[in-house]
Amino acid sequence: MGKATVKARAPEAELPLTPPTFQILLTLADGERHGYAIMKEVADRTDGGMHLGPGTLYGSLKRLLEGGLVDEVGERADPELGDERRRFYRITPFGIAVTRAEAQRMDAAVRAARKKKLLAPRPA
Amino acid sequence: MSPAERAYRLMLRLFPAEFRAEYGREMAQLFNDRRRDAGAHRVQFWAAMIVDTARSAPALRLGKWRAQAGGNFHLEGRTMKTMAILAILIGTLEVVNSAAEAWVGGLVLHG
Repeated sequence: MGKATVKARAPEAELPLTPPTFQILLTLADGERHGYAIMKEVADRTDGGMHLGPGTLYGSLKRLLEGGLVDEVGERADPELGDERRRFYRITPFGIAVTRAEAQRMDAAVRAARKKKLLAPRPA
Repeated sequence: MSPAERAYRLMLRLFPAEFRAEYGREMAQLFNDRRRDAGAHRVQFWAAMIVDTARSAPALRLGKWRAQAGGNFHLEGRTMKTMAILAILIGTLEVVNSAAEAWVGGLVLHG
């Protein structure tokens, strides 16, 4: 399974991201995680609004790996979860750039909604 | 392997074979992790697993077909929906066949 040639692609070309994809990248932005840890952090961050199932999570990770936004970093046990070996994932520099671009896109949308008074003004 | 994991591994046959080979073990791991977290809420848990499979398996099969067809794979929305349903039916038949084989095998072994 070859990775795309990431150098030739602008981060903006990957947008918009699906909500699960953005949440997975956001989770990996500050460190390596295995699948269960990604699922837990996304559920916590969204106050239970998004529970990633195995098909959704690994389907998304497959696309992110193929697109060069995420790398695999081998298998090891998580001491908090016992001896079972788990595959860890980390975000790539290109993945960081895409996540930042998506956050900026959403920020622009929120600013437009505030301008239209659909959202409360940003607190001072 | 618990009966629940055995049932989920049957459901995994709805996904493309290459995807199962690459991610099947991790998907079963996550299934067991979420089942542990679900505690007594088994009905909601199984509903979530079925919905997750129903949403993600057809997309992955269609993605595989697109990759095999190259750049000339253009389908209308209704045709894609039909193919997705067919993919799920094919996968469901595979699951039923595997379950039947396991049941018959058990009858033969244990009388």
